[in-house]
Amino acid sequence: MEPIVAAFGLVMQPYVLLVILLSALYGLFVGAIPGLTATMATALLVPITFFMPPIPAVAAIVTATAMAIFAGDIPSALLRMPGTPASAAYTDEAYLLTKKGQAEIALGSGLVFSVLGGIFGVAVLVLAAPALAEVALKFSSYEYFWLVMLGFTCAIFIAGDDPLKGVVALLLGLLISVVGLENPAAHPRYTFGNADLTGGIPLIPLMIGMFAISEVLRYASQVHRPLMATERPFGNVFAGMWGLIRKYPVQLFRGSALGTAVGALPGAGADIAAWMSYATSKKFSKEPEKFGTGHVEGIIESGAANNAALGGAWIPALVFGIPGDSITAIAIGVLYMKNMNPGPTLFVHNPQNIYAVFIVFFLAQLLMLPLGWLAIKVAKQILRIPGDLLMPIILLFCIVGSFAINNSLFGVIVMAVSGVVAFYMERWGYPVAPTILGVVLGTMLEEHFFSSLIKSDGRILAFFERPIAGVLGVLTLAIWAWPVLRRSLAAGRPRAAA
Amino acid sequence: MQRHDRIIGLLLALLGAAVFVSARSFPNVPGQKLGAATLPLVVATGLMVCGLALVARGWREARGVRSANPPRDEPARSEEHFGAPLVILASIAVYVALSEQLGYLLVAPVSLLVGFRALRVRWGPAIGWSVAVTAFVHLAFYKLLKVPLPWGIVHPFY
Repeated sequence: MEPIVAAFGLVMQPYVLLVILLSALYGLFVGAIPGLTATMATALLVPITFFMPPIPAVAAIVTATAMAIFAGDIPSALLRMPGTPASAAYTDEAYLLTKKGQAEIALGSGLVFSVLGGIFGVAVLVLAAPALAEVALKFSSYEYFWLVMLGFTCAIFIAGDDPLKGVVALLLGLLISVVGLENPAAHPRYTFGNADLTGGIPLIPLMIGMFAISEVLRYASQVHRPLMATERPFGNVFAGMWGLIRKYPVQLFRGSALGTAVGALPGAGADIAAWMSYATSKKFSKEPEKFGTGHVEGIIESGAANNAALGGAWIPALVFGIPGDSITAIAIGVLYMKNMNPGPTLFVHNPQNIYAVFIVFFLAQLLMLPLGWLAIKVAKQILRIPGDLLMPIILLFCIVGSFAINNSLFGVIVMAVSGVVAFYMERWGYPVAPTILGVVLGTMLEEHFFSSLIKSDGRILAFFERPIAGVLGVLTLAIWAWPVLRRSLAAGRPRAAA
Repeated sequence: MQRHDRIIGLLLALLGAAVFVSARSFPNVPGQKLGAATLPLVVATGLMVCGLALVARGWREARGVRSANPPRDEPARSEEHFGAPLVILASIAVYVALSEQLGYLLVAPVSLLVGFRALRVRWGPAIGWSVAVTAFVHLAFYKLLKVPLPWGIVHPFY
């Protein structure tokens, strides 16, 4: 009980509450502008959180991302452009609803079911994370090695539709993580005599480049001016929502549960959760023919899923230090900078910090109702702000933010290069998530691999001898073997269809 | 896409080979058969294998399905242009090259102005916003967050 009281003490301070309020407004704004993503919101926040104590720093990220994922629904409904990739799955559906004169339903269901899905995800986080941490306390380097490998595997096979390109993306990430002195032999690898490189490629400028600069470049390369779907003022967006909750409780639950699970898998975040939930919703719907014509059912399920995924992603991030999505990948970097290293010991030594994060999560969901309502009210004004003005401003924030991490222009160079790389990766169909995972977890992988090897005196079989490590190891290998197995099974069958 | 795949595959394989050759000289952990070279060698091998697999797949697809399927990634291309992104990158380069010597207060507005003009913002608003945003970021980061943005030839006036 004591840590919970202490946690409330940490959160209920004017400074922290102000940070939460401001980052909520910031998240709503960024999420509502097409082309600015929730991950970008996080990357841009980091240079500012750099100067805050740990709790408000994490609170800023948690609140801003929750708001941004909801706010992404607003331009979906009004402009047929998802505000963040997490809304892309049901953008057409929401836009068609608006076109049918039901903007209130489209926007209101986005808001209400985002909040409900978000609360579900947080509830699972609160229940599951401490329990998992108990188990994780017994983990040794073997288990961690396989957890990292399983994380990579999930990122490749779940996050992308082309595993080969996923593997390439992961290898590039690992290659980036290799640079510098931090390795078992403390040998300077690929530093080319450059003092800046001995410390490795700085993570935060890299993320700012991959998630913000790449978006700025993408915006600059496109020519489009979308039209607003409706110009009339909106009525009450909460009208009819209770009816929808009673009509679609299964969809709400299924979306929230799937969203949380997908969020918890490394490499897959809110956007994939929404796509999967939309597909599930259509598959199990009693009226699948209505999907794609402006039907609210899919919006409910996937709108709940993408917000639930946020809470889910924090489960492996807090318990194992393995990010569940790109946002938590950045957040983990922040936690390390704040000496709040993620891992099960965080739950033992500083439980008040963990509880404070949970409280912030709930606060953010509750704040979403009034602030989301407000955001919908002023949505048309926000959406009129020209991106042509915003993008160069964001660019300057990125430059100064990347500089601020180490007070060095080297960060700005890393930012620019990784921005270009991410821009082309996206163009050519290479997922960015495995790269980020490789960069974040490369050092951890190497460290656990070597300490396992030293402990076992070079015996590879030792990696499978402890029960949990064995299960994780076999599971990982099975996922890798599955495509090959499936192909050989298919080849064995007579080719009747051909 | 297939052509992209083949070129990128080849480049990745070459990168893998370069990493492989250079990593072999890295030292081992004392008393172990493995060391600093292990992960780079694994990554290098992976890059070579994946690169060649991409090349092979590109060839196979190019030969097999060219007549059956029209190219699927081209149509959106007509609505894109690469001038603006290049100018944006140039504005970052200008900042990196000159901010230490000339100072943030002189270089940031130029970088911003270049960015605004690349996105076809009219001169008046572009100049106004460049000055205003430079001042705002200076106040937020230099004054409030104490980030030592370089002064360059502009000497502190407070």
